[in-house]
This record gives sequence, structure tokens and C-alpha cells, in this order.
Amino acid sequence: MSFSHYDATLILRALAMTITLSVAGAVTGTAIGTALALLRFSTHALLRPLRLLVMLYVGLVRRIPFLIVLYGVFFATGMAGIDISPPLVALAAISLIGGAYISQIVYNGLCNVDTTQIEAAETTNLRRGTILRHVILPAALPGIVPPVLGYLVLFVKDTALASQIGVIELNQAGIILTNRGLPTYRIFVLVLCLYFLVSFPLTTLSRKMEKKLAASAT
Amino acid sequence: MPHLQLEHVVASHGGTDILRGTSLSIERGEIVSLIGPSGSGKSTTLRAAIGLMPVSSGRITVEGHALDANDPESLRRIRAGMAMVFQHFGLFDHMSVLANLMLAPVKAQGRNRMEARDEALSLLRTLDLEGIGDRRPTRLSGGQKQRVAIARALMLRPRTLLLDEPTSALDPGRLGIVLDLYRHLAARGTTIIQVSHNMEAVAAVSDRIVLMEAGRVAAMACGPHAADANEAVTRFMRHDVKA
Amino acid sequence: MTGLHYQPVWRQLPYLLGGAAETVMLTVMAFAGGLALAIAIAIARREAANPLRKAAAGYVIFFTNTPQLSQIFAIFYCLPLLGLTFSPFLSVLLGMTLNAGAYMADIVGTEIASTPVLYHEAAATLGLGWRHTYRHIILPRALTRATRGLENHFLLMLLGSSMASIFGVEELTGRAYNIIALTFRSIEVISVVAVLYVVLSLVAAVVFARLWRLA
Ligand SMILES: Nc1ncnc2c1ncn2[C@@H]1O[C@H](COP(=O)(O)OP(=O)(O)O)[C@@H](O)[C@H]1O
Ligand SMILES: [Mg+2]
Repeated sequence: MSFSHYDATLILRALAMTITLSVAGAVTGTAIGTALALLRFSTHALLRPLRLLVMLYVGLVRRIPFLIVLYGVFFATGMAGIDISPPLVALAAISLIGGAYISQIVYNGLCNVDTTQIEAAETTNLRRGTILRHVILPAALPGIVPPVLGYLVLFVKDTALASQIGVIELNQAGIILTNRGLPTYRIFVLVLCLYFLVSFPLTTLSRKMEKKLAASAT
Repeated sequence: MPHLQLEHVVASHGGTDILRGTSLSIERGEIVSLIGPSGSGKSTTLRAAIGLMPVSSGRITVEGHALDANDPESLRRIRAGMAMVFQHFGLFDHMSVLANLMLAPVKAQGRNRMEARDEALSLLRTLDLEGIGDRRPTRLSGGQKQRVAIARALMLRPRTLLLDEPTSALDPGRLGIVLDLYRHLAARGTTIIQVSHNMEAVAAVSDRIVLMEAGRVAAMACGPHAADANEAVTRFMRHDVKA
Repeated sequence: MTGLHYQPVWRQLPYLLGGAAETVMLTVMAFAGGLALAIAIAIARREAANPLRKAAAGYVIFFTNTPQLSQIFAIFYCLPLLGLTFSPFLSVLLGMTLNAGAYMADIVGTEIASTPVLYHEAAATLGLGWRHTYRHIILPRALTRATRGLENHFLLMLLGSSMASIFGVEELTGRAYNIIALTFRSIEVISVVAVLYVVLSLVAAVVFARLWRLA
């Protein structure tokens, strides 16, 4: 059996799905992660319970496999009668996990900012929000961006697990074509190559960025 | 035949010549001190002599064998009779002092563990380092590290001993011990070349004092009163309190 | 909603714990094999002559830029073509080991590269050949310094091992799926299993802390 036009379309649409999931997951994960980190970094007394909640969330979710979170969201939405498509379920799971990991990275970055800088700003009677925006965040960014990028690169590959709830992304497309009787090894070489083509430029970019930031920091 | 010989050695780092025709001939059992201003190429001379620094022209011979830093086999053979103490010691921080001392004798020279251990313990005793065998180098003072580095080099039973500022961190008492040890080794045929800024130590042990300037041998003083035998050397030793 | 019923799940707890043991076994074996492989690759990437060195570098780049899931699928489908039939457990173990080898080669390699020049020079003047230099000086130092990164990777592997269920390995996630099929208590099973993973990873962190203190 040979590779038909139909098969090619399937692979390309699956590739598009992988990229869409990765990009959307990166956006929501970064947004959630940053919001949670800022919340955890806040000092307002009223926000204390929320801070504890965030810490619990971040501490727990990073110790649960992506696959389990994926199944969890899948079954929970099903049970609650929420009718959402498998790609959205996958996106929700990615956002839950990505948010936790990224918030930890961002929070570490914020904590690593030299405290004398913060204290100096505080003595000038600047408001906490102003200090955060103009002093802490710019100082923390070089320590945050490279590991976040590194994490997002990892995540492109984790989207392969979405195949398990019926999302037709690259890996699932490979399985479908294999089951249809196409030569297995060729299909999987193709699938692996396509993943590589998406992931490798990102890896290179994040490495370069890391080097550049490290150079500018000294 | 000289024990160690450098003939018109030129060596460079990133395009600039650091040794510019250094020539030096050293006899077996001699104690030679290299002195000179900072950056004059003293350390580089030692590094070239043990093949850590490739030479762009000139010739280095050790015990009659030509040294070629690009030929691993010749290097291995020549280094088997040499040892070096580095200015910054180069002790392996993840190992105990005793492990540092025993590593090369056991693994590279294939000597018996227990015998190497006994020798290491006795060397530590000689150098007033008794009882520190199980410690990590990071937990030692500068003077202790320096003596451990000397002990590690001596464990190899070298015929040629190269020492880069080997007494800089020692107090007068320990300095005396180390200098006595040099004399003892030299009397039994070990050739010693040291780089030093400690002029008392230089005057006390040297059979020969070599003054280096800008990558060349600028002056040389020999004999039992070497420190007073050459005007340029004497002048440098009087005025160079720190270099 | 009909409410949550944990009774059927509690009854299966011993079965799940057996799965947890399988998860730990799979992870520990893949980690150990992966670490050995990583050390070999990291050394080859620095020391080997050209074809081998490039192969080692290519290996790391390939395995760290493609999903582990697809790698295992490739192994799963392709080994039979070579006339090899591995059990699901062995196929997954092989895939996880190869994948871990690549990631940990990066972790260990960074520390090897950070060996002070002075250590190389001291080793050379002590007459130590490259084997002894690696075995006694470079590797012990690099591995102690890499402990943080290696521990992190172990935890990622512990969680990542759940994908073994996809290939029919009955580890923790695989057994969770079996119980769901039996009892239809999906949320209950998934939540209990999530807690078990949290416990496993916390226990692993404690064990590592102990190990590092011993070393
Ligand atoms: N690794 C190196 N890279 C570049 N220049 C070096 C290096 N090592 C030494 N040099 C230069 O070589 C010259 C001689 O150095 P060195 O032999 O260490 O002098 P000394 O030991 O007499 O103080 C100095 O000017 C120094 O800056
Ligand atoms: Mg010097």
C-alpha cells in the first residue's frame, strides 16, 4: 500500500494540530503561570489564603503525570456533562500542568532578584505594584525567559499524549496510518522527523537566547 | 649530559610570544630557582618543560629524550620521571587528601595500595600534616594545601621536580621543613626547579638562580653564594620585595 | 451527578499498589540504564574520534527533540521487523532508557565540560591516562555536581513512565485504566492514582536527599 493524497492530508492536519496545541498551550500556560507566580509573590495579607492555595496547586500538579491530568480533565468534563471537543480537553490539561510548572519558574526568578535592589526601591516610597513592574520584573526576566522557553520546548513533545483521548495530532496520525497497513517504520520515521522539525528550531532558539542573556548579564 | 635542557625555546599564547628564545641547561641534582617580574614567563617555562605548553620552536630535552608535546607516547615516557606542583595546587577537591596522594602511584604506576598508603602517611608526617589524611582539600588552610600538593608530587618519586611558587603560603617554621626536604631530595639526585618570590628561600637553597625578563633568561648566578654572585640577580633580589 | 463512590476503588488498592511497585521498578531500571548510557555518550561526545563523536551528538539531538511516546511507538512497531520480539515492559524500558540517556548526557556533559583546566593539567602531570582521569577525577566530580539535575530528571521519568500504560504495561496508570474499565468509577480512580503519584514522587525526593547525604 502506498502513501495517498488522503494520507498526506491527514499527516499535515495532524501536524497543524500539534503546532496549534503547542502554541495555544504555551500562551495559556504562560498566562496562568505568570498570574499564579505574581499572586504567590504578593505580600498583601488578605491574599494569604490564595497564596497557600497556589503553593499547594503548584506543589501537587508538578507531581502528577500529564497523562493522569489529561484523563482527569477528560473524565471530569464528561461526568459534569460539559460537552467540549478532545483538543479543548487536551488544551485544558496542558494549561493546568503548564501553568504549574511555569509559575514555579517565574516565582523562582522573582525570588532570585537581589533584595538590596528591592529594598532600595522601597525606601523611595514607591508602591509595591510600581516596584514590581519597574524594578523586580525587569531584573528577573533574564532568569525567567530561558527556562520557560526550555520548558515550552519540552511541552511540544508532551502534546503527543493527547492522542490518548482521541486528538488526531502527529503521533495519533502515525498510529492511524500504521493501522491502515502502511509500512510502519517509514511512518514513524516520518512522524519523528516532523516532530524534530518543529522542536529543533525552538531548542536552538532557546539555547541562543540563553547564551545571549547570560552574556548580557555579565 | 644535562638533566634538563631548553634550547632557544619559543612558546606563544594567542599570537603573542611568551617565551622568546629561553635557553637553560640544568644538571642532575641541582636546585635551580627562577625569579623575575610577574609575567616574565617563569610559570610558562615550567609548563613547557613538562609538555603542558606546546613549543613553536626550539628544543626541550629531559634526561636525553626530546620532549614533543604533540606526541602522547613521548610525553607519557618523559612525564613518568617528572612531577609538578602548581601555583594554585590543583588538588582534587572531591577526594580525601590521602586519595589525592595515592591516586597516581596506584593507578598510573601500578604500585601496591598498602605500600603507597604507608608512603603517603610518612610523607604527611614529614611535612607536619599528620592526621589530615581523611580530610577534603577544601577544608585545609592555604599552607596545608601547598604541602599536600608537594606531597602528592613527591609520591611519584620524580627525578625532576617542578615547583611553581611552592612556598608562598608557608609560615617560617613550615618553610624550613620544606626547604630541608628539597636539600635532602637534591642530595639524593632529584633535580629541582622552583619559581619563587620568596628571596630568603631562594638564597637559602639555590645552587643556581636564574633571572627571567620578558620571556628570556636575563641573568644567571651560580655557586654556593649564588645570591651574591651576579649583579643583576642581586639587584633584583634586593628590590623585588613583591613582584 | 450521582456523587463519588470510593468504595470500589479502596477494594482495589492492593492491586494499585502493585502497579506503583511496577512504576518504580520501570523508572529505576530506566534511570540506571539511562545514566550509564548518558555517561558513555557524554564521554564519546568529547573524546571520541569523529564518526563516533558526531553520532553521539546526533543521538542526543534526535532523542531530545522528538516525543518519547513516538520513540517508543517506533521501537514497538519496528523491533518485530528486525525479528526481535520484546514484551511491552521491555519495549517501554528500552525506549525510556534511550530517551533518558540523551537527556542525562546533556546534564552530565555540562558538568564534565566545567572541569577546571587545572584538574586536567594536574592529572596529566601525575601520569594518569584518560581512562583513569575520567574514572577518578572528571566523572566523580561531574556526577556529584549533577545530582540536582539528575534527581529532577528522575522525577520527570517517574511521571513520564505512565505512558507505559499505552503499550499495555500494567503499572500504576495501566492498572488504573483496568479498574476504570471494571468499575466505571473513573474520577475516583484517577484521583486516587494522582495522589499515589504525588506520594511516590515525594518518597523519591526523600530517598534522594538521603542518598546525597550518604555520598
Ligand atoms: N593562558 C594564557 N593565556 C594568555 N596569556 C597567558 C596565559 N598564561 C600566561 N599568559 C601570559 O604569559 C605571560 C607570562 O606568564 P607566566 O609564565 O605565568 O609569568 P610568570 O609566571 O613569570 O608570572 C604573561 O604576560 C601572561 O599574561
Ligand atoms: Mg607564575
